[in-house]
Amino acid sequence: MSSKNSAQTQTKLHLIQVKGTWQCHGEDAPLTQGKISDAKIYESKSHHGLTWTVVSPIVFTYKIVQRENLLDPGDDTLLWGHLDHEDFSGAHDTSHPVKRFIVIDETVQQLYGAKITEYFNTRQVVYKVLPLPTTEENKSLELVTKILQEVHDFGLDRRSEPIIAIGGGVCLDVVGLAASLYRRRTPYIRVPTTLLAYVDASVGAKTGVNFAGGKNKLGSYVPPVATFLDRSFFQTLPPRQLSNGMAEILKMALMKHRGLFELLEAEGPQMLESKLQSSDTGSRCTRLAIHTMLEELAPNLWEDDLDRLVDFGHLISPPLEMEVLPALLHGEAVNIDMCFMVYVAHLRGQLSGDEKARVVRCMLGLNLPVWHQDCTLDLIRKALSERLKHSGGSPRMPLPTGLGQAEIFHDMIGESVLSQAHQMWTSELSPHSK
Amino acid sequence: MGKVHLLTGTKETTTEYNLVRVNSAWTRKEKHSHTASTESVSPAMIYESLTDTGTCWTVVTPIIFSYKVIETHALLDPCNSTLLTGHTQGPQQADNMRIPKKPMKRFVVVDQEVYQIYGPEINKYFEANNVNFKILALPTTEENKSMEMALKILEELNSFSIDRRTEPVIAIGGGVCLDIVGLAASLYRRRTPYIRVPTTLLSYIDASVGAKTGVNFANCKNKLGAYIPPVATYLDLSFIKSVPRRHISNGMAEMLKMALMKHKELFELLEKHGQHLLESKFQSDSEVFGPCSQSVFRSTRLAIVTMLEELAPNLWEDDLNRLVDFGHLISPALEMRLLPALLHGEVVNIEMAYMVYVSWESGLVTEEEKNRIIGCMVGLELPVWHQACTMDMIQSSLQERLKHSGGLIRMPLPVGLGKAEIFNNTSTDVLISAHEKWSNELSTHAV
Repeated sequence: MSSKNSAQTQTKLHLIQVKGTWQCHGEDAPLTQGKISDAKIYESKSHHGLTWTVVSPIVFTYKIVQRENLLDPGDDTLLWGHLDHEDFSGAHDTSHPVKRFIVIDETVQQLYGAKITEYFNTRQVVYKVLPLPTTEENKSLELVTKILQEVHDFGLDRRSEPIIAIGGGVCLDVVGLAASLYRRRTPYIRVPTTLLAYVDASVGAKTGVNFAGGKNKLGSYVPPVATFLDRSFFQTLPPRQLSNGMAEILKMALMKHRGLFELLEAEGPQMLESKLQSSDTGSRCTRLAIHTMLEELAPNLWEDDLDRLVDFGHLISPPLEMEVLPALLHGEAVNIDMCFMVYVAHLRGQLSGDEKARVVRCMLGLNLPVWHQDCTLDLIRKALSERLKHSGGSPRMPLPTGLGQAEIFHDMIGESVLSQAHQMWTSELSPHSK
Repeated sequence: MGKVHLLTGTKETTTEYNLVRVNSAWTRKEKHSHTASTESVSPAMIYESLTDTGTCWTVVTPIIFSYKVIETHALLDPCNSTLLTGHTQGPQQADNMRIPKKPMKRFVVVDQEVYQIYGPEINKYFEANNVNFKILALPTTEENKSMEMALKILEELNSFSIDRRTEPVIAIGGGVCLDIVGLAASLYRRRTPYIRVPTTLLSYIDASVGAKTGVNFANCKNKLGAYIPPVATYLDLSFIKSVPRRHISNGMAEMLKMALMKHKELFELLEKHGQHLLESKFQSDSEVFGPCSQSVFRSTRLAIVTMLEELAPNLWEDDLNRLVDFGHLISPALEMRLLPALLHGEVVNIEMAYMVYVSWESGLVTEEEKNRIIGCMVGLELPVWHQACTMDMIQSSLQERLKHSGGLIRMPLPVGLGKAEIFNNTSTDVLISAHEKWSNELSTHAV
């Protein structure tokens, strides 16, 4: 086969807008007049013809705002928190009413429905609340279509009337995807009501639904305009859901924050007991969780780099979670994966026996499952080979290299280490299985 | 482009952080603090504000979208590597793509009608290149442009199984095909690379060149979609050979749109050589041309460059003032109403013809310019009037436009030949009298 176009010289063209019209200009263009874009076009010539390469940066900006009393009718955040302070007063043109479309998880609706309608009624907002059963089993394109139909019938301004999602991770993911698709992009707001969503789903850009038995197989990377974090929602969380969220916090601690690990180790049970309402430890814990997560997600919002520390606990858990659905919650499956990987790290000499024991004790203190009978060696092998396929040929395996630090490994775990780890893990921890 | 929204106030302090990578972990570092040369700094920033009510973080991340639009010929010649590796950065990377033990894999969606004509060639191309391929031939029409069709593609794609990054999905067909496949690919694994091969003139100069993908929903055109561009678009004019004459006119409407908005020379080309281009079906080696064969390339290149100039700086439509919207304020509703009687470009042209009268009525173009434009449209064998385009339809479309465009009409109108501006205050009187004159003068041209 003949080779492609031989090396060509590329002309870099700037894009300048004068009187509403864009035009490309060579490097020696007069840049004084008009507006210049950050986007560039490169033109090159070959015997086949011309080639244009477009390079266009799109800046994604989003806010994460902590509030104590989000549903207090006196608090502006839920309606205007996504804007600048200066825009607050200007934002609302009193000649037509404020409109909002709210999607809420059914369970959350039962607990907070009255408060929510009171908020919007007091503020004279024209609104529609759509309660939906946002469970893992329903996390599908059908649910997204249902939301889209209702949004379309309600009628929203394209830019100034964000859709509001109130609920756990599934709710936020599904609404985020619907909003990404509507008019190719509609602003939306996330209000996480579970601990898991608070520290994980709410902080990044990912949206999605399950498809063909695969977790989050369809989705987008469009972030919300804002996420509003109010810890008081945890007061109505069942203990199991709190532990579930702690798993993701533990993940970040194990990957990159020794101090956070020690906090979980020392205060885990108390935090669970108090439902993280205490202003000191609960607050410190959630702050650190968000910091560490943001550090990892912001520079890699669209996963251009497949080396991601936040993938820890997410190599084996996807098929495990889908296999036993609905027996394990997401965080629980993640914890089982993490626990197994801690054994792998130990056998590779990356964690001492003592460190391994500390981690497992911490997990148990957080009331998280540390072993599961369906997490067989076979499932693990299959999961890792899927990972290989899904990650451009390398397993990109995050593994602890100490307490609160980790590295990403590009070699596959050898079969003997894998089976040894599984054996040790099973013999030590299967008595803890629920 | 995004603005940074910073909270300001008496009780707040805002700290700016860069993100720096050391080994496998990212860490935030206050801006202007020392960064070792071994550390890589992300273009993303985090702003943290501490207020008396809590903390507020603002994340600002630029994502770079890069894509290639490549003119080629004989795309389906097995010796032409473009279709397989044209999207890669250079010959080095192209070689790396081929792991000797593992054959290349490609999932290809082809419009059914296109497959009828080019099926054997397409199959031969992949077979000759030892590619493990699957072709999905689908009836990609405007009526089928739905989420259901995107899902069908996704099911097959998922079963076929492709690498997440190195095995782009290929779409071969007209605008509808490219839009649906683009959306399916954008959703799969949250983003899968895809390639566009336009086979109609319309898609050649329009659908292929920007980032938009989409499907219709609730009887509205392109209500669902994404702004994810393909990794590459391959432009091969020889496909136009098999396009019916009417569909070539259809594509020329979008070329005319760009000419009217911003390029006098392109307008004059279409005015002078429109018939030749139609006759020759944009085949530069056709005898129809003689010395004018270069006008084929000149006209398509001008159409593409003028379009790229407008789309690249506004890929995600942050700016709702868009010259490329000319002909697209009323036509969406009109097109859906008349489906399948009229093609997209034909409806666009009907609107453009009306809008030229609005320009004329507003004193923005002279009568002579108006006549030249309509003359050109008729020469391109495009419809210039339709009875369904009533004042009612126009007014309700413009109402929709207001809702869709942040409260302003943002109406692009020609200001002379090959120049335009965006207007927000055209009065209803002007719209009505323009409609009267348009109908009086052109209803005789009704399709």
